[in-house]
Amino acid sequence: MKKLALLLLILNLIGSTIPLLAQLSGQNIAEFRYGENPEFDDSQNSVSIYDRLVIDYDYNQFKLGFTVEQYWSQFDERNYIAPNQVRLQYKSDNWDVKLGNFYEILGRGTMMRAFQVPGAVLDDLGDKTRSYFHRDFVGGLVKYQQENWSVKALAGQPLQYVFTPLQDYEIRRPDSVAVVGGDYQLKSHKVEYNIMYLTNDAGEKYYSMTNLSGKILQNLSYYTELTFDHANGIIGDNESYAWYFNLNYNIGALSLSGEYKDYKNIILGQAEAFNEPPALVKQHTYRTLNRSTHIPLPTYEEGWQLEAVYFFPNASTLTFNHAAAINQLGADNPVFTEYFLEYGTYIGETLDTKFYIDYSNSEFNGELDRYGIGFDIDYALDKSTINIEWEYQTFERFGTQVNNTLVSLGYSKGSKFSASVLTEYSDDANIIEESQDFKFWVGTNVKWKPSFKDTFLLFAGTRRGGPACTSGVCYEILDFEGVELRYTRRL
Amino acid sequence: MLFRLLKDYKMKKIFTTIIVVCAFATVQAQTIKNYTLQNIENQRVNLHDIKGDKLTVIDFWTTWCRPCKKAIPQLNKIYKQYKGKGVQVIGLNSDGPRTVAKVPTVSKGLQIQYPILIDMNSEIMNAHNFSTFPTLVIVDETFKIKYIHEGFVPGDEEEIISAIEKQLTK
Repeated sequence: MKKLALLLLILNLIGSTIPLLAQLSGQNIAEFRYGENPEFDDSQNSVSIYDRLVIDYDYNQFKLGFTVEQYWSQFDERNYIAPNQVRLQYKSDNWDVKLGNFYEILGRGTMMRAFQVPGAVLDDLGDKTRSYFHRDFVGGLVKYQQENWSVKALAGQPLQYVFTPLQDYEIRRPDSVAVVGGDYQLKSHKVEYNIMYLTNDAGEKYYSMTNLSGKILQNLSYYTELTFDHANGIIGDNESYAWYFNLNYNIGALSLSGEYKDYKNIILGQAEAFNEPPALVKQHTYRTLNRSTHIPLPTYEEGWQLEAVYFFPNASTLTFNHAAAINQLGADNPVFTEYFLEYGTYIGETLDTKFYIDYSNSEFNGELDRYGIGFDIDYALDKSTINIEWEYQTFERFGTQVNNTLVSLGYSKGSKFSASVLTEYSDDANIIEESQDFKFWVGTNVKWKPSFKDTFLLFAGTRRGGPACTSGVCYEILDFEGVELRYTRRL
Repeated sequence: MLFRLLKDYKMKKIFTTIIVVCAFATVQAQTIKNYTLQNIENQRVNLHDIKGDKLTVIDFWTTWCRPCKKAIPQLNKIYKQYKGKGVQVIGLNSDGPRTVAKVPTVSKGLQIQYPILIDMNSEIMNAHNFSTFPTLVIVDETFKIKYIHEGFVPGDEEEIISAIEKQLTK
């Protein structure tokens, strides 16, 4: 650690000496916790600290950076300090060369997607520790581009993100891949092709991915992508492919989008998938709906999503969304369907309101006739805003009716300060104790941003866990009771 | 409990790191490099080719972010107000594969007047450790970052206009 501090100091001195040539940048997230994760049977009244430091050093076209992640608690076996990422990049107008850890997506992710969810720190149920939610790629990438075309080659090992830094390198990165590809642009149409060689303990495989996108008419655009396994192809008993298709159309103030998916046996990776075919289910910002999302099963999934948005002249919007997904699990074909309607409007100059109604069925989760209703109202005062949210959800699971309610009251003063109280109620038998009829969560969130460099986030109370989706990726949040303080410092 | 943690688990190492970094790291103005991205007309565009003569306002947004959509009408007004004064506005969309299909329709529906570029890999966001949507950045003619604003609530547009005016008068 002393060496790290010394390195930072030297980098800083160099940066200060020749500020026009070089720049140091980075971010540190430090999170202090006192409380417990109810899922961890032994974590009552525990103290823990999570820290993630990112430092990058720029010099002309070069960039050198590293990330150090650490977690400390009173449980030795959960603690770690991990120099998680090292990266070197050369970037010019035509060349982009990366070595070490990097993020990259091919097409819409049916073949490969390496990503991070900014600011998301996950509790791991297996290792009972905490780690940053990212799935990077370690290796090398070379990209060369001209005005109408580009070529690239990459090789390395993707991270299986469910494994924390406590696990060995071989467990976290069991797959090795090599990809060569390129794209060509002709007017408003673009075609891209990539071929991948994948090797792991299960053997060797080759995959191809092609996508085509463009505009058919002034207001009509399309995108289609196909990834398939060379050995099994797109027809036959062992078919292995992902096909995605999207159309967008605008007519005046009406916007329409339609998407179709057909995924068969297309999980790339030995333990977890390092590809991420598009879900085609609306990513809701309403918490009860976001938690009830459908998570795609690329072993066999077919479905579509349709969305229509009408923008009124007075800045009101009406949104309708319909999503459907059909899975195959042995002899079962569980179906997911959702219909969502939202109306947002301004009342006078001070009230910004949104109302929604949602109806869905998730046979996979055994949740039928799932109704959701709610509103989100912002009342603008002079340089401050009061926010009220209310959500109610009810559905039937195996003959039992489940009710979820959420109420939030918030106050914000510009973007510098905000505070809110969030309460949730549920009588879901899957969550409450046997001795309880219902469960109640109350949490307070305070955000203070004294400058663009510093952000403090304080949570105190009880937080309800469950699936959450952000940036198009879904993950599991665990329940938490206690106090959590996060300090983010931009360097 | 915290004292015990500090003593037993060498927590001072963490604090040493944090203190050293925060106290000694002097920030030089960062520069946003040139990237080639697709626009919503499905054409390849170099970020630096569409800059403003004096300033460029870059808005990092997504279709699923509610404050982002609240900010867009205000950015339309800023774009109209300053486009003749050497200020460009660019919307840098960071929707991932799950929601990127909606970018053209939402952009057209919201009648966004300024150019929209799509960075589905969030490469520029990640390169500068931006972690909030929306994040608004003002850069000078050499793409050196002069101002950063995270989040959006009504009234923030005044602060953004004030920052533009301040940079224009420098």
